[in-house]
Amino acid sequence: MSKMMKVIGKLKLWTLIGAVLIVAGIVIAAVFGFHADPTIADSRTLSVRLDSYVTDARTEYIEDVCEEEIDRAGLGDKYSTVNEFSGTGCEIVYTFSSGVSEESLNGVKDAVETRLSEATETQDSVLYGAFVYVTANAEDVSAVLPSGYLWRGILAGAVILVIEFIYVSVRYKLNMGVTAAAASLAGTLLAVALVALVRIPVTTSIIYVAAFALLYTTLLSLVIFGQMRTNFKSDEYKEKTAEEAVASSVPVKAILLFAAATAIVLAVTGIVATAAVRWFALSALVGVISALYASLLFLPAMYLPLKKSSDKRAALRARYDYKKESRKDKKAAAKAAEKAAEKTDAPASDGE
Amino acid sequence: MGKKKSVVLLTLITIVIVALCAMIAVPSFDLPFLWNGAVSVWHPVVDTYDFDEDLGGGYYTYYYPEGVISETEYKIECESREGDADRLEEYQNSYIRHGGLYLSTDPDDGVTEETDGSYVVSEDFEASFAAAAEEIASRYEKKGYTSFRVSVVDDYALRVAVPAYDTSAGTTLSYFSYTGGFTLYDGTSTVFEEGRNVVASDYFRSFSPVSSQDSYYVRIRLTDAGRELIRDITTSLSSSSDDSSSTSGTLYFRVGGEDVISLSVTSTIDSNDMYIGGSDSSYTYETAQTVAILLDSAVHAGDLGISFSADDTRIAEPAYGSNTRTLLYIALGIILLAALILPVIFFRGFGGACVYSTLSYFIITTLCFAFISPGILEFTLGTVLVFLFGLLLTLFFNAWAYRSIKAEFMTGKTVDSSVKSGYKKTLAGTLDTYAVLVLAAVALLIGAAGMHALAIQALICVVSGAFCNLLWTRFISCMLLSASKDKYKYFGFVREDDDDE
Repeated sequence: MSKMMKVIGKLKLWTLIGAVLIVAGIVIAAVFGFHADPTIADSRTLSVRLDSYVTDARTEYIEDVCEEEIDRAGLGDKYSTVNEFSGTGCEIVYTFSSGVSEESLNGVKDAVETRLSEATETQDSVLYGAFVYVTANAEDVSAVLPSGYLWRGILAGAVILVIEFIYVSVRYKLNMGVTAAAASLAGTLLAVALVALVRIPVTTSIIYVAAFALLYTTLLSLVIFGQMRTNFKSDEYKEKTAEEAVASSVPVKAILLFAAATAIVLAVTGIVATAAVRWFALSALVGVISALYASLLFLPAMYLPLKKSSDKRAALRARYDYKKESRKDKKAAAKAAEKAAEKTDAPASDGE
Repeated sequence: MGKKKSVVLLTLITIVIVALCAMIAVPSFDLPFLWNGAVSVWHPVVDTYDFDEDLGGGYYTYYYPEGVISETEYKIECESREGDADRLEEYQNSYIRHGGLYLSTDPDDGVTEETDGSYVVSEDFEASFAAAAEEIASRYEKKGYTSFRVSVVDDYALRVAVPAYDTSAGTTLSYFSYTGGFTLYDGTSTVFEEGRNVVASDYFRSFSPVSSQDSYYVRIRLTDAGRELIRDITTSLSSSSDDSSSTSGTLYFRVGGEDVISLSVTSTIDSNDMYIGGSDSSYTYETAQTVAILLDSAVHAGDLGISFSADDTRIAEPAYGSNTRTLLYIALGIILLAALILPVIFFRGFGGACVYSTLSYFIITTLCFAFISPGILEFTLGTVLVFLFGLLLTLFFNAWAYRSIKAEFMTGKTVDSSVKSGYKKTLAGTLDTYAVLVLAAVALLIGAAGMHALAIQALICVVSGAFCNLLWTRFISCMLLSASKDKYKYFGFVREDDDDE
């Protein structure tokens, strides 16, 4: 609780850190874009088309030759695929970053072509008699995003924030609704900004990570406010100061355990699976960290001044009511005194 | 509930859960018996998903404009002329190299023009190619694939890649290469063609795919002028079909001279809306969508002044290897196993209820992913994320309930009373969280393509999680508690002896 007490008093610090990271992420994304995964980025390719009967031995031979020549040229392919034709034949494609020079790729192409054409003429070779064609190309991405993908995603996110604000405001308190929506927005923006900043390779799946970060922050916010709502009703908490009440109501241990479990789950997925899943799991992990930042640091710090302000207003209201009551009482007492005086005066006058 | 009843019911539930888990996860194998009189292979439910390109690979091909060929084609042609040096030289002189492409020097192709003894790409060709590339890219954008790629290869060719789940991938890859003008052909002559004063969009308002029960159609919305045009054409066709002419009863919708729709006409069509379906079961929603997008594009963009030929289609494996899916399943299997074991270690008997809850969540979500509207729910990396999110959510709220029950027990209440008040205390928080998450998942439906699919999947996961947390775990826990000999042991509670006793 003592650590939480320190955390909740630093709204300016958490806001500043969050804002700096978000702005830096936006600037980096605007200037350099996201670090696009090779599957959606401009690239250079080396393709070997086997226009004959395909066997494992033949494809393995071609792959060995290509990889040897690629290693010799020091290119290092981003990924390679063996693709089949619906009829006979296959195409083995090596994809490189667009930074690889045309000359060096053509050098590899010529070397591969020479070795493979020799193999097709050598009787002992598995490629003897096969037709093999090697080409090198440059590819510039023209489209990878479905129409409306981004703006409709952003609209959906905005609607979620509004829903969260309304629901929490109605079921909990207005200031909690404002804080929950602000924290969710911060968590989501921070996740996207961090992915841009730390240059994690992304595909169009980045939008799933943003949605995940939004849902995750929303969940944590609701857990925290659920706990606060329960605690604030108890007599024990009515005695506490706003700082103590907020700090002791954040279920830090439960949230950290949940986040740790999520991190382990994502780490297992990333470690066991291939590169595409690995980078995605890493992006999702960034989403979890952002959600933790938004809900454990930013949310309580933002809620504290709002709670203080609402507590103050409530106290003022209570004092006002008291004054109002006392005035009424005074008026009523004055009236009663007047009536009593009239009653006591009346028999005397009658008697006169 | 009585002890015997609980045991019987639990046994039945266990049998159902085990059978469903086997149906979902047992890997493929050849069935040892004949199925419908033929040898068949067992496929688990997880094999039936429509995977996106990252996980399931896809198809790709190249579009070459007329007068542009690949290096492979150039080499094949040269090889065929190796015996004749003159023909070879003539062929070689008819092309210039540009990156991995060969561009025709024939003036009729209009690709290059001779300037000072050397060939350069003509400005007209460059402009036409750029416009066509943009239009083709926008067609693929409208298809709403979760993952696809259109890229320009060596400045003057296109490479298009689509995910494997598209049942009409072949049609799409072929049709979207058509960049000519929109025409109507009645079997003998062209009855509608764009001209100086004839604009197709003045006749055809829009094209869209529609589904009705199990059939799919292209809906054509006509303007008043279009309605008149179709009425005149179909009146003429229906009257000539009465003469039993073999082809005169069919109206062809063409793009660049290629038939896209063949409409058999038996009577006059006089309406502002036309619905045209396919003739066989292979005409899916995706096919209708492809046809609608192509016609809409051709009507509104017009003749792009360039024609493409689509190369052979390649079947591509996932970019990061064919084992991507297998490894992902292994990872998810490990996580699921941990989600089953850990609650038993920490929560004792209540962990057993968590096991049933986790398995039920797994079964409901995996079955829903497979059987709710196939073709809409593509299995993407986002699916993995929402599945794991829902799983962790279920475990979290079960743990929260357990902690609350334990806290109540520590105040000196009986086990039954602790369970009752423990659940009661967590109910509002759990309900609120799930309510907001359900609403958030519904809001995600606004998203396009993969986001839309993700929204449905998130809805499935959150609703399944809510069911498991709010009803199922408590129900199972109640049965397990009834069946257990020691209620304290069931929860792993230790009652400290009262000193007064």
